[in-house]
Amino acid sequence: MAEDALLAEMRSLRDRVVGIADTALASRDGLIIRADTGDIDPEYLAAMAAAALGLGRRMASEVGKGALHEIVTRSSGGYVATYAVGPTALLVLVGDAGLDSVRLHRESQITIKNLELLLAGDGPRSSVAAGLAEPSLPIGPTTPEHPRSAVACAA
Amino acid sequence: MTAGARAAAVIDVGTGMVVRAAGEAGTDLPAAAASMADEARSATGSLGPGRGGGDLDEITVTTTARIHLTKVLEFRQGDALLLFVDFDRALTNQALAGLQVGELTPALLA
Amino acid sequence: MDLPRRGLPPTADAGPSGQDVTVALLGQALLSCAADRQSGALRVYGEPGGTVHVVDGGVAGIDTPGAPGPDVVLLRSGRVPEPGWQDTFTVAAADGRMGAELVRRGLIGSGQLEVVLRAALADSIFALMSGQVEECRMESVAVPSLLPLDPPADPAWLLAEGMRRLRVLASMPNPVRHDRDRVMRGHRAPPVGSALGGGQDGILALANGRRTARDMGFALGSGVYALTLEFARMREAGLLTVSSRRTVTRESPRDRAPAGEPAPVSDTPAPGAAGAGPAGQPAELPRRRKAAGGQSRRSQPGSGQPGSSSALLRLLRPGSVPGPEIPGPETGQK
Repeated sequence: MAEDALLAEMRSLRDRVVGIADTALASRDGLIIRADTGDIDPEYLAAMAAAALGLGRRMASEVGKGALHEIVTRSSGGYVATYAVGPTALLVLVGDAGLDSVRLHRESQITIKNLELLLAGDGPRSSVAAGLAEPSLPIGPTTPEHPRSAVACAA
Repeated sequence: MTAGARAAAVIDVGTGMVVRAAGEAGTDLPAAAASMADEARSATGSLGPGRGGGDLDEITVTTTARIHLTKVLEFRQGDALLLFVDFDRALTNQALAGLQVGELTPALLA
Repeated sequence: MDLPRRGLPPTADAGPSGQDVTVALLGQALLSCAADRQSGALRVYGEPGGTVHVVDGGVAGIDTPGAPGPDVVLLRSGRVPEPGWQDTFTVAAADGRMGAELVRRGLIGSGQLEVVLRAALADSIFALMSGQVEECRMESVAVPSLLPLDPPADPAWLLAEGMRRLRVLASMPNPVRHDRDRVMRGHRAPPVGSALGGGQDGILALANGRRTARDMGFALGSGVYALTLEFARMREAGLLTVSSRRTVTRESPRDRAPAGEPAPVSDTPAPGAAGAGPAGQPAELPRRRKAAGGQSRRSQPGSGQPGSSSALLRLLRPGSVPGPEIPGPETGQK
């Protein structure tokens, strides 16, 4: 089976930036596309991220400060950051208190761009893009080694 | 007066690090400290919680010239501190050394 | 995805030379600060990199993504309960009085706090020294340390402790990399009903194949070096196994944004101006104002505090800093 390019991209971000614990790629309405998570429920995470992103974009637009970059929730024990990925998807990541946020700002740009390209079908997984465009098609499988990273079927 | 004490150190068990030290130059405290930390850890493993004998309290190592007394100052899960004192055996004995160190310990981490 | 490599070999693969450069750069920068009694924020660029808060040439605090600071240690370990911490923070953080206020409220003893602060400094210097340092640059203080060690630590002592830890790990036949090796429960389960010592229960609960020692340090509020040693012991006993490795890529100077980038959320190094010195050459540290004259507060043990009956006790009370040489014969003798 060909390597999953989306998951590889997400894993690479976790390798490059110290302090990222979990990541999930989802559609704008909160349905999981891929998840690289441990103990966190990816579907719940994606649903909340979608809501936060929607709200965040409205806020940004209301105050007229340009396009939204990221939404960050900062707690005593860590961070949750959400990014728009192209027009149809979002990336949410969970970090601990030692998250290298400087490196994150830089590296996340690269990852988001690559994910966007992959989803748009410029990568090998054009079926994923088709899946997003037509919600009735099931979304592809996830890696077997993380059973909690369950992928929701769209249909 | 702490009779016969040549050097002393507060040691973190988890890392073997000397947190505070005092005494004569020439005693190789960092090496002794790391060793005593290992000793304390082994002793805890073979004698301590789970074996019914209570928590580790003290280790004494006696050579012909020295008494090395290691007292547990604090013990939390995965996080213990020791007081290590190096005595000149000619100037004290084990009982006296133990008493004196026992008197010191409550005040050390006020 | 492989970023192009610079001339500097990565620490882990190139044996001594990469690490020698890292240690030399950091050591030179810190000792230079000490000699000039500088105060400010020494930005350490590299992986993990970080910021060393220097006060009168001594080290008061270190912020790095590579190891949990004292605030994370106190909170995550449960040493200081969260409501108490929050209340203290609200009242005292802005004035830099967090430590004093924690002690005043009885949330921690002053001696205990000093131990935690020193241990966190040692852990952070270990994280810096065992990683890669490309440049050190002294900058004016952006955000001062939340829990500074006062009086600050002697940089020579701190560097010596860092070196000691590196040597201990280097002497192990099969060391665990605290920043790369992700651990999973091993084939041996602990015997039912036994309480494992050394925090092993906490480690096993979090060992899901996704966390390195560094990650677990932040999760548990434990030191990274101590966890590394424990991981090695547990692996030996079959309780843990290394399930995957983090592939670390190197940052190159052109990755950094130009100066003027807004301050980041955390205290990790802000992208600096391009044009770092050539690899292996330490950046020249800008001269700072010399501290006002007076005694060094860093390395004096037990200067005449009243109240203790024992000379030894006096020497060991909070504030008596262990230096690279143990101070001369002041031990009480008959």
